[in-house]
Amino acid sequence: MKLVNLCRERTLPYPGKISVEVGQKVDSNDNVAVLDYVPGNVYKVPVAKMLSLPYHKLDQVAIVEAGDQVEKGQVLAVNNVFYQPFVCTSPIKGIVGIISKQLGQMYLRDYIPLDNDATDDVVFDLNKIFSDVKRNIVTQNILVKPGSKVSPSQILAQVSMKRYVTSNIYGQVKSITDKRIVISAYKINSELKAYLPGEVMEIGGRNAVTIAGKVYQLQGVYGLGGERQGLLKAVDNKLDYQDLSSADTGKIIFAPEGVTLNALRKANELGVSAVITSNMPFLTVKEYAGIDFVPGITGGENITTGLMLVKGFVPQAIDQNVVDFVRHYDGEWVAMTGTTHIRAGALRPELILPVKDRRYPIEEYNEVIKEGSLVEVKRSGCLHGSKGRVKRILAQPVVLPSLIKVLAAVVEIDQHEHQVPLTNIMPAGGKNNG
Amino acid sequence: MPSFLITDVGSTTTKAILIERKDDEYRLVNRAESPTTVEEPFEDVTIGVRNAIAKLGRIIDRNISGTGQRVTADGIDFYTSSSAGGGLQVLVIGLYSKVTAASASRAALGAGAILLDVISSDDERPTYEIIDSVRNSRPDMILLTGGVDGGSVEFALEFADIINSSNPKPRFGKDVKLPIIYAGNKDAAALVKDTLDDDFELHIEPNLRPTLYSENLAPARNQIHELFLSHVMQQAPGYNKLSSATAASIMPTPKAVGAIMSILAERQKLNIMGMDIGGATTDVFSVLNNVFHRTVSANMGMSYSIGNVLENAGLQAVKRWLPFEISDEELSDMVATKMLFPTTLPVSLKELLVEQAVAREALRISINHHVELITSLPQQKSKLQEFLATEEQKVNDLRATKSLLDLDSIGLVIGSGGVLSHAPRREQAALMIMDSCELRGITRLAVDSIFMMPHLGVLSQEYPEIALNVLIKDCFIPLGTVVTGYGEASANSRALRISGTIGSQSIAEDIQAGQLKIYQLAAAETAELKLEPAEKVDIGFGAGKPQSITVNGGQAGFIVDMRKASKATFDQNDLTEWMIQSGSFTADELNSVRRG
Repeated sequence: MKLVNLCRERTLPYPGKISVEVGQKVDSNDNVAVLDYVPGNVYKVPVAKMLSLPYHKLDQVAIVEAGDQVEKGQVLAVNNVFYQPFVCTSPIKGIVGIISKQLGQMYLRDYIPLDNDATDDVVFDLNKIFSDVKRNIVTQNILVKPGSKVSPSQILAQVSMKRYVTSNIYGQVKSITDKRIVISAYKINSELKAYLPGEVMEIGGRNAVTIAGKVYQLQGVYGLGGERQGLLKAVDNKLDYQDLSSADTGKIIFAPEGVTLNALRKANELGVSAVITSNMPFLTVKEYAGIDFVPGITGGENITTGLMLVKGFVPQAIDQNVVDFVRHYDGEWVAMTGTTHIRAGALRPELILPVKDRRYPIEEYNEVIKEGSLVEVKRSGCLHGSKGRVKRILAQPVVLPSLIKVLAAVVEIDQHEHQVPLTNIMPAGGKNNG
Repeated sequence: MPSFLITDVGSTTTKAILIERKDDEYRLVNRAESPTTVEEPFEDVTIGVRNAIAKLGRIIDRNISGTGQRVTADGIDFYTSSSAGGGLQVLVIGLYSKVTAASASRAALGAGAILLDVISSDDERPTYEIIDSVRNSRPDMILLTGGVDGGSVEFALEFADIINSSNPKPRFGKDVKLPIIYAGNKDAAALVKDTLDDDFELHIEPNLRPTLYSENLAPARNQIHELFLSHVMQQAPGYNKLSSATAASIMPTPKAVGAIMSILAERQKLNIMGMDIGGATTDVFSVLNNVFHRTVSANMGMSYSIGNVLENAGLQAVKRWLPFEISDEELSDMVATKMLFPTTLPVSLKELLVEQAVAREALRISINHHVELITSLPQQKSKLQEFLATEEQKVNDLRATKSLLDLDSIGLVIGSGGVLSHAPRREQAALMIMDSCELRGITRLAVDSIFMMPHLGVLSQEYPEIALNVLIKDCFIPLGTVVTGYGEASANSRALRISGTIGSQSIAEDIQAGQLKIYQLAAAETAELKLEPAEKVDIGFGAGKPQSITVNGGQAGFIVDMRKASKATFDQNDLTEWMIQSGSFTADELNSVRRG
């Protein structure tokens, strides 16, 4: 837990409307920008060809511009031949993406629905759709696989030139079992929240707002899902599915004693915003994340309930000071992100708590490790997660049980001294095990 | 002649080496490293470079630092390579994935790039996803190609339109135009220029795939390098200061490795394969008949992306390299915890064995990736054959490309990266390479002791002989020579008879199928042997064909690997025996892990 000054650039994926001004104070739940649209499928309209014109003349006859929104049937271009107008109309409601002067065509984009709160998956049961086709032929002609992204009109399975089934939504193939293709719809929010309580520092064009603020930040080590916000609910015991009800919808549940997979699944069904816990086995996390799981880069999972692990994959308790401090926020509005990027310049999950009249009781720790520093041991077998004081830093490399020769520190944990590589200790706050 | 101070500016560490004349040759004096200072709060890469040089100066007790614009003292020339800030990141667009997109990928990888995405018209993704990818990728540059000369111009123009519409921004520099190299159908060049020239920094180069049967990668590759220097490096914090201090241009790190490997292969008349297993990615290099090839397996590394290796390889594939029982849960938690704390080292033997098992799989996957990607071009057909071929045959010909990498022909394998270079025992490194490489025939093995190849690659631009001498004498640690047999001999039947001398000892011995045998033989010692494989066993010269060899040893010795001379599968007992027999671990050590 740290008291920090954070500065974050908040960006819309596409230009929209900014709803704040520089200098304005914002809470994490305030809208700072709204998306107009997210462009989806691309439709090519061969305008020049339809109007019997050389490609390069498209510029002269187009009456729309790139970026314009158009209705189905709206005129895109007019060619007057002997005072007789020939027109080319839009086949869809959408937006003009490109007007290609070299190819004489326009690229129209349709919209991906925003604020889609559909919770039901769409099922394509090929057993029924192709009931007269041999089962193995159907199986061989499924053109998507679990994890595939799909869009309207995309062919999912095709058994002959004329017989095929197409998707009707933007989404992701969740599973294919027994020739049943299950697709879950994309959920894209149109509203961009401030996330950070603070002040608007800068506005960048039509899609970026920079916010700075002083907050308490609890950094986790691993998470799933992107940003989430909600009222905090702190629970005492390990969270199981019986503990959850519809009253938890939209909440961020702080369960330091752990959470079961069944509880996470029920939370997902109920629309719980996120669960924050100490640890969870990696295989369980993977199972919850579902298809398309990339261990080192998370945040894009198609899940409702975000997840944040404060300690990791093996059993290790969150410091009692931290637990007690977070509990103070029970019933208050908080923000978190589960997005994790494990690389140089890493992005780790975090819980953001507004600064109120209470103060975290532990002093800030020093980033530099020296004799006397309170440190936490990482990995190193059964020492993982233990806290202790550095007694001394050894001048000469030592040979570890792994046969590796490294520079090490002697760390006192529970009144026993252990040689731990300098690479495996990090500065810690809170109390040591002793 | 001056001395040479060379740095390699990596993403996290800047490594400096000093090379000086000693008696009648140039040798490595010493090395030092310091954190790279490309990020905040420093945002000046020269700070890390100066720190590394100052540290090296303290180690050798001399002032080798320069003042003002010079980073080195008088009489010491300065060179550098760099992969800081994520290296050189290129987005590649081609017409077909197996034709122009493949050629463009080879051009970019050979220039030392990381490929952010490879887009082609036979891409499975819908157009809107491709637009999203182009829009969100933030590359250093785009390499746009597509279409052989004289073919349709539509594809190149359509992708030019898509680039325009996506409005991609460069990784560095808010107000800088993104460079795009167009190296496709020459007939489309003027139209592409008309479409892109206003909003991007467009460079038109000769088509890198002028016909289906030929490539011309050099112009595009050279342009990528030029843009790396003039554009990417100039935007990176402190690089213009660094550029003015160097005696030659700054090279992307992988390109520098390619330069020194190519010289080595040429001088020693060898085909070489190299692998550098890093924290996030694994690079595989090969020099085959003096042509350099490189691939990067993104997300195949030993720290940041170790979880991804497990995900790709699968738990069972990793478990087969462990000489003890372990549950899926414990193994996955161990590997995933390493991912969370990527800079930590294995403390217990169990942790070390797990990391080495994962490394075998990361290397195996990366080498397979290399084999798949470096392919020959289709054979040119006569006009009659072209006329008679059906469309389906033409498409199949393009798809049925053959890998250029024939492991029979590899004479030297070089391993690099912490898990190989810093393995506690050299025998462990040798075994990891052998297990992951599917070697065939007679191969020398070596590890790069301190990852000095980039430094020597940069130096080789001006002083190839000096770079090569230091490479052989100070950089490489010879592990030994391995004879690998393949075939279908019966399990435990004789696979190979060897006779002759190993060092000062005479030998006449039969090696059984499934056996791994290691003989002590130092790097300076020689083995002169007659090798007689069994009828169904091939040691690189054809099944049952004998061969006389004279080879050197190394820190792991002279190795006879007949594990694949039969089709029998191996189990935990076999693995244990190989680990003990090779000297990688003692029986006591492995027993202690089993006992927990």
